[in-house]
Amino acid sequence: MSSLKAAFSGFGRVLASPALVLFLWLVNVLVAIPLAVSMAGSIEDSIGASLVHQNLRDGFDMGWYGEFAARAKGVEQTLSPSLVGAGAFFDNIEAWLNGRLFEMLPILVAGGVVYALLWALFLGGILHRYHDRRGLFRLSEFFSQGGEFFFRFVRLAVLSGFLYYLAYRFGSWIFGRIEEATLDVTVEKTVFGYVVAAALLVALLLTLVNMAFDYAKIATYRENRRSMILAALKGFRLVVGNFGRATLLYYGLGFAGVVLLGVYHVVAPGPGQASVPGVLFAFLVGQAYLVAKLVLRLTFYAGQMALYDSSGFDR
Amino acid sequence: MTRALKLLWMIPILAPPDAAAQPLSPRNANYRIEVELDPEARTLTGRETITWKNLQPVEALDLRLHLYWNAWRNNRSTWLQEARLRTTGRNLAEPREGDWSSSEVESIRLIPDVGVPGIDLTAQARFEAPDDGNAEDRTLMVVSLPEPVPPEGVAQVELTWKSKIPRTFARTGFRGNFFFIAQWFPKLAVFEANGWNAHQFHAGTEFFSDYGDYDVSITVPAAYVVGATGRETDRREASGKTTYRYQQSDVHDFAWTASPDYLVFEERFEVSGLPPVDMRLLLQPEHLEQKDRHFHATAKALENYGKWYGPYPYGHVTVVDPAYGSGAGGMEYPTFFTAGSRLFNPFGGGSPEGGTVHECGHQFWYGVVGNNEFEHAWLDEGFNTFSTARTMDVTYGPRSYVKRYLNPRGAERLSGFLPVMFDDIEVDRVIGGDRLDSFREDATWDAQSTPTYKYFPATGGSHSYDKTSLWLHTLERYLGWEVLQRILSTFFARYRFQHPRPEDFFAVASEVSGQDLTWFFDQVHRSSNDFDYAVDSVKSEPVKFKGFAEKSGALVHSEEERKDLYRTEVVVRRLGAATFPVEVLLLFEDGTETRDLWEGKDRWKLYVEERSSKLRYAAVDPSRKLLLDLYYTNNSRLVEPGSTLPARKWASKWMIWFQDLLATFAFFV
Repeated sequence: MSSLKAAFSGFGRVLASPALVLFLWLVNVLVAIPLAVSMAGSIEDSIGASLVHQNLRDGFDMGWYGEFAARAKGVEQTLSPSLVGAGAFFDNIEAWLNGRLFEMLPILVAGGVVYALLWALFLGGILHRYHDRRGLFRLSEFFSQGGEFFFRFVRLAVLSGFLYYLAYRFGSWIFGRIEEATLDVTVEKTVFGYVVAAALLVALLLTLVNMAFDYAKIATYRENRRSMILAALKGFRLVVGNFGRATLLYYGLGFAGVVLLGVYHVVAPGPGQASVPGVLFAFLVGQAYLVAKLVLRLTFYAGQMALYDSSGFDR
Repeated sequence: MTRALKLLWMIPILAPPDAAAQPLSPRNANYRIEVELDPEARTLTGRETITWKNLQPVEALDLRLHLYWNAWRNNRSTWLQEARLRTTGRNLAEPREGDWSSSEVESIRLIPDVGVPGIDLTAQARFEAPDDGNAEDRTLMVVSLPEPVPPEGVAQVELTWKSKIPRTFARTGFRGNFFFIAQWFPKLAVFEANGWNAHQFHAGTEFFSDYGDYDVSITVPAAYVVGATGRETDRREASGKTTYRYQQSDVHDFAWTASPDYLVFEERFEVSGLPPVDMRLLLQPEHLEQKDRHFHATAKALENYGKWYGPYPYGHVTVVDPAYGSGAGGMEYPTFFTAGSRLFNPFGGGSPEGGTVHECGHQFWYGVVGNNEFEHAWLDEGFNTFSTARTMDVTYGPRSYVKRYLNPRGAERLSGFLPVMFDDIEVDRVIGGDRLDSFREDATWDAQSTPTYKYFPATGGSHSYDKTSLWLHTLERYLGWEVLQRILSTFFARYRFQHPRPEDFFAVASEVSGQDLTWFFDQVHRSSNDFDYAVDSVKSEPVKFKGFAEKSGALVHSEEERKDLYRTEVVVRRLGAATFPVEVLLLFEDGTETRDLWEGKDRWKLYVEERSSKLRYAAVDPSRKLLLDLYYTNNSRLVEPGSTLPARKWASKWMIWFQDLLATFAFFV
């Protein structure tokens, strides 16, 4: 099976289970709601009955924001003007790329870790769904599969976490070397070129680890593996053995994600919603993008599953 | 006194050949310098002749010379010790072996007269640290004289020195083949009626010197392009080297730059009512498409400052776009300044325009009006921050919020390569220009009247730049722009080519405005108190009567609510320690309003109104005259709280970010 066929097959499998997408999106929303409600309360407290609320209704008020930021505590510190439109996603991509994701506020990191554990719980069910596409999506079956593989996938995450850590360490090292090596370079274009190349290298390492561990999960599920070390090795072996197809599928879907972000950057509403329907519309556009991103993420799993199941992949 | 020394004090000051016939300044500190750059060794070798006239009514027993580059001789200097308390990142946290600098005076000779042998004073030189007694600080050299210099006497000394150029500290130094050479030569301090005003080099301060003539010959490898204070008057090539001669009168400093990479462009500034100015731009090739933006911003600064305060007197200015990462950007020198840009810099984001306007603006505040930046940096930095903000506002309007991405970890100097501009988010003059946000954090650290070099190093900038800009903007709104403009132009005209002190400005402000503004300067300048006024509570309800009422001569219990009459109670408070007269507005639902000018000295004030309309809202300082008010959101209060929509809107945008953050964490599983 070619990478393209696998991608389409995966996309078809994801679309065939809209309930799974809906469920995962709902979990994402539900986990986010408590802190969002808390944030709304903080903003409301800050605005109070002030006339400033008119400015914030019509757009953003940097004057108010400065006051809010000066007194912000905890999660409040993460409110930023850059959350408008695609800026929110740029912020997270940057945090992902430079590893500062794990240096955020403890409550955010804790929330992220809990969410990641939930994801580990769901993965068994997700893989099961994209392998065995019979019947309707049932939560009982989903959780039964998820529970069966949960601890194995957590162990796998610990292993991959070590490799991600090494990738970030490598990133810090190489950026540090670039800084040293370019101390006397007077042309930003040159330094920018090095930095972009290094950033792509770090992204490549992170995604290679991610790809290998995706196959490790698939192998664990399909072969009911108990040893996660061997599963991880299998994942890497599968990637190396099918390098062209595996990477083309992974980075092809990754490129689709970049295109998707570009489209969202263009169509995302700005800060100017002054009515309930306007706010709702902007929120729904954001949710639509998140759902599209989720579908894409699931397509990685489903496409890789399709590739794994194709003849000659796992020789 | 020997005959030679008697002669010494009578040496006439010889002006350079291009000096203006009519001196604009006292020209009492004149320099003739020959310097050679060795780009490989990163050294300067120099010889200079200083001709100094004592303008004070007292004798000068010695000469005091700044050797600024010794601030980075080692980590024991006062500058580097103070720099550790700063968080600006402009200084190198961990200087490497080749980063250090030094300035070694090899000889000092007193030159009595032409043909008369000089008197070697080298052994008379010593270092002093008047501000902190730091014995390891070598930024201020004292040279004892064999005889005092009498009032109106002239001393001429010749020095030779050698310097190691730093990797850029304080916007001077090298990066690769780029050299920005500032504060580089042994330079006289300022002699005042009570002696030398000579400080060590501090991390939070800049400079102070007398006006004079500069005649500087700079020798560099032939491939290098040079820019400098003044105009080029001669150029000679020999043995693969080029010697550029630059001359300038009526300035108090001289800086220069050399790099083989510069592109050179020239345009002429011509605006009716102002003298023309030849603008020379030394541009990095990768910023070629930003050429017009640099010229435009420079011209707008010359135009606005020229019209508001007084014409630019020199007829030429050089704009330097420094090399990437050089740390030399954003600094002013007479007729010469550095702007600073990045490879990607979207128009509308305020850069490089803001920096260009600001540094060009220093030609007026610092260049023409030469205040003491060691002690009163706010007089130029603050005036110029205010003027920059105003120029940017009238020229470009509010800028858009820009966030820079691609900030690799582990390499703090490699940052912000990719800007994203948020067109819909405006940064207005108060936030982007006067910088209220950065001032808010530092508001109470120091009284502005504290000498600048004594400010806490990490927060001093807020008091010099931001606070002054905020109180000048407040004065603009309080007195009106026409009055403030007259104050500033009078101050400019009266103190051009002089060294004004804060009291001089305060006197001009009261004189021109026709009112004693001492109270204002007491609050904003002589105190570290913060401003914060607020509406504490608003209540507006139908008038109710409960209790005994007199009816037909008898007391009867009565309960009555009048639907046609509302009782409004508003409490306003002064939360900050500082005071300012503020207007209090009560706006009623029928459109009527009351306005009261509250002195703002008491801690609170109650307003009570009974009228037929219900209150809509109350506001303290509704037209926002007091821009130093640190928290303006609390300045207004609606009777009926506004919609929760704004909070929900912004929380919903935050939630989208947070949902994606969660999904990003899931990547790792």
